[in-house]
Amino acid sequence: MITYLVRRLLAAAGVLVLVALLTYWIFFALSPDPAVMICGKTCTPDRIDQIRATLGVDQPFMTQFFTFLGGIFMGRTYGSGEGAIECAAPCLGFSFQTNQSVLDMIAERMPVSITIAVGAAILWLLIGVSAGVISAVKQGSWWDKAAMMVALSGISLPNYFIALVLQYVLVVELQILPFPSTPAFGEDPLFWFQSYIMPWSILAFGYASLYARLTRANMIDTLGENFVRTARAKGLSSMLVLRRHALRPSLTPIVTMFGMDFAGLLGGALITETVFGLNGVGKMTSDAISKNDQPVIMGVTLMAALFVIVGNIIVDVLYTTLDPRVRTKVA
Amino acid sequence: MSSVTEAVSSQALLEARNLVREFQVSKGGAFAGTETFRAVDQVSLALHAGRTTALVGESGSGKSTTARMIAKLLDVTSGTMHFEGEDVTRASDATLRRFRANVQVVFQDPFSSLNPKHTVDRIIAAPLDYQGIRGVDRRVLVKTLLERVGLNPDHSSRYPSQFSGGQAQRIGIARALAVEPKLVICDEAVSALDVSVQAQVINLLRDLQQESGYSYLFIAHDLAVVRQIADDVAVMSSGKIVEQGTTAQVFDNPTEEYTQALLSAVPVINPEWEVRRQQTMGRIA
Amino acid sequence: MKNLDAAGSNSLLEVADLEVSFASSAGIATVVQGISFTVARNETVGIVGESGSGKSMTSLAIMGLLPPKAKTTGSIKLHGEEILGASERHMRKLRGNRMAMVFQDPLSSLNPYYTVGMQIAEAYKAHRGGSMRAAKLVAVDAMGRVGISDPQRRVDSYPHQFSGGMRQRIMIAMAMCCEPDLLIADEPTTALDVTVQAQILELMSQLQNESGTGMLFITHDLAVVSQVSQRVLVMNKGKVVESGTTEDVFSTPQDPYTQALLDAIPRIDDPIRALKKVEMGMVSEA
Repeated sequence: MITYLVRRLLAAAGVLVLVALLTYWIFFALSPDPAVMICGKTCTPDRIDQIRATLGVDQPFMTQFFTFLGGIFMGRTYGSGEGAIECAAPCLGFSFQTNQSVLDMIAERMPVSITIAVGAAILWLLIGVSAGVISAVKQGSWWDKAAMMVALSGISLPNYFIALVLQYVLVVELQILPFPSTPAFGEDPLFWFQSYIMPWSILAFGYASLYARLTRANMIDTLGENFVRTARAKGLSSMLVLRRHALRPSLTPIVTMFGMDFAGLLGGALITETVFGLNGVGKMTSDAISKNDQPVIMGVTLMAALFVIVGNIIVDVLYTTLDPRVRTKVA
Repeated sequence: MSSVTEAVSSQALLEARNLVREFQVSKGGAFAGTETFRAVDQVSLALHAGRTTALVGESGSGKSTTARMIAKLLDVTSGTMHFEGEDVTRASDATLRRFRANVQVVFQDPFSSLNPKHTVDRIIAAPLDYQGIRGVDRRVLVKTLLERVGLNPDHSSRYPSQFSGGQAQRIGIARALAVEPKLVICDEAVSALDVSVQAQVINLLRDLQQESGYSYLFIAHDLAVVRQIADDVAVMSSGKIVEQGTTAQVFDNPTEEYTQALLSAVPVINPEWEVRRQQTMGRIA
Repeated sequence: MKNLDAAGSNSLLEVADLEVSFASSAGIATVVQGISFTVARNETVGIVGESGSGKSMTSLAIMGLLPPKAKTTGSIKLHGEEILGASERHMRKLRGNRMAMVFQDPLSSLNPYYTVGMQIAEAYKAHRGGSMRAAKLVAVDAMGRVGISDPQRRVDSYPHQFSGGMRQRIMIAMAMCCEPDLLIADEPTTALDVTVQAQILELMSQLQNESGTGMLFITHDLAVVSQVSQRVLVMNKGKVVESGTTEDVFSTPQDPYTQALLDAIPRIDDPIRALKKVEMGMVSEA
């Protein structure tokens, strides 16, 4: 177990370095000179050179990359003398456009993204899984057909479209909900809830649709298994057959998917946050992209990759406790 | 037993010596490392033209792994294989192609081994393309083969799903015979069939052997079937051949304890009932 | 066809004119066409037939485990009580309790996610109640009786940690834990090696002697059925073509299909007799 984990973590570190290298290469080598962007239009060549030196972009690519990697572990200093900027370890970079370290920016906005992700996840698991189970059990019924129609629309309709429609109807026209903002829960619980309910629902709708279809398919497969027939032949109640014998094998693959989806969402719900103007990691990323704030994009990309990789490892380890066949082999 | 093998080994069609196959298997739980598992351990076999050699054993005995090595569908870990005197152990390219034209396999499940999207025509003629054999009239060949295996030659444009299990297995046999092989490996070829169909397919295999002198390597777990079709038998257990000899020797005078246990476990119908049945039907006095 | 009612009124199981059909867009397929037979206490009745003969459908119909779209008519009586058309609630009380079933493939018939002890225990608990802990003790005892060594320890193992034969022993332990009056065994040894098959057949007959359970043994293997059963039904295409004592059916078969089957089986003890060419109208060969 320990050696397995060490192996997985080493592999994860390797993947992260590769992701970093690729992202770094794409943004710093292919996009316009960041120094020019920062300096603005009325800029002398001298000034540009100075900024370039501060950013370190006058160095060759690999040197820049290793400086960046070094910053993560040891911190780094931008420029020198009076105007030097300290960025303590772990330094994910420094945004000269906002004059903030990228890590601080992420940390500031993380609570909003976590709130969105957790709320949406609870909703989509509850709705998606139960809808899928009911559909499988009542396969071919009007409920099944209706639920799968809704699920299909949830998968096909882009969520920015639903978000805009909802926002218009509920907030602008009917004025049932206030314009969403990002208050702390303690300040005004009702306003907190009203602000988040739309983004939660929008995100949950898409995922729930996917989960409902997957749960239904898994469940129908499992219900056809011989061991379900055995359970019935034992005289167990249909509820017990369903809950104990059919549900657990059907849900195990869902756990894998959930781990990945949830980890992905922690990296920010880009579209939903932007549409509702919620100041989470996703909105920050979309702002950074529009302003070409490369250190921020770089930092968020790395962090999102980290979440997904860690999520993946957690799911794999969890799987061994969920499926006894993975845990133990023939004695 | 070894004297029998060696006496005839000089004119063997295919001779396998000391075949070994090892696999890496995971050890214990999901997080432990792997260990080496020897599925086939020092197996030697000599297959002769016009004869049927059966490889019998229970599940996990290594009989299928041995068959797959002999068919060159699986590499050997060590050991040698000679076909008509030529070393084919590590054969590649031209030698391998020649080998494949001489050695064909009939698999257990006819439906999963026949492409459901291809017509019988195409399925049967496919080995000719793989072997690069040209200048043969495909239509005539396919029709002749279908006739030989007892199917209606006019059904050559049908798909596998339009045939019964026994008929599908006949198609599999026709495909194996298309390149006029010298050795046909039957890997549990009749195991999935109902008894009445099984009997017909066994008869067919025998008739074909008498016509064309094929050598059969017959892999089976059903000892009663083996007794009906095999000339020589090799009994495998835990990767090793524990007993080897002619069918009569092995079945009537098994020397190894394992073979004796295996044979005595086979359920039989009370022989008195069978005698009475034959008498009632007037077949015997 | 001879209808056999040797066991008469003290029959454990009485099946009369049982018909099972499936309606589909292609029409109605009748897979079991009006069959009748009885099973008495302490008796083993064999049903033998090739694939598509309807033998497995018969067993599922008795257990009430056919898919809902199947239409079943006729009569199935257990201890004289009509159970065909009984409520699901009532059938549930009988299944695993008064009548139990052992299936062909023990690996897929056991749930890979639960320990074998739990799977035996839940069968017991469903009918006898009590705590799971108490039921586990019954499971340990049941595993010991079917010849699993060290049951106290093995009770907490998972199905994949057992060999095929051991898994089938567990299935038998599960079926027998409530001491059913009727055991239906549907190809219980078909997936097993021959040495293991011999052990399982031995175990089943030993358990039957101890408990007096009536057994319906379904198989395609004529040799197996000739060894385990006192009476045999030969099925072909949904019909019973022949029935009688095992000795009668095997020594003086009346129906051409039975004769053809007996001619077709390869015999390990009679190498002289060549395999007869089977020319049977009922076998769907070209």
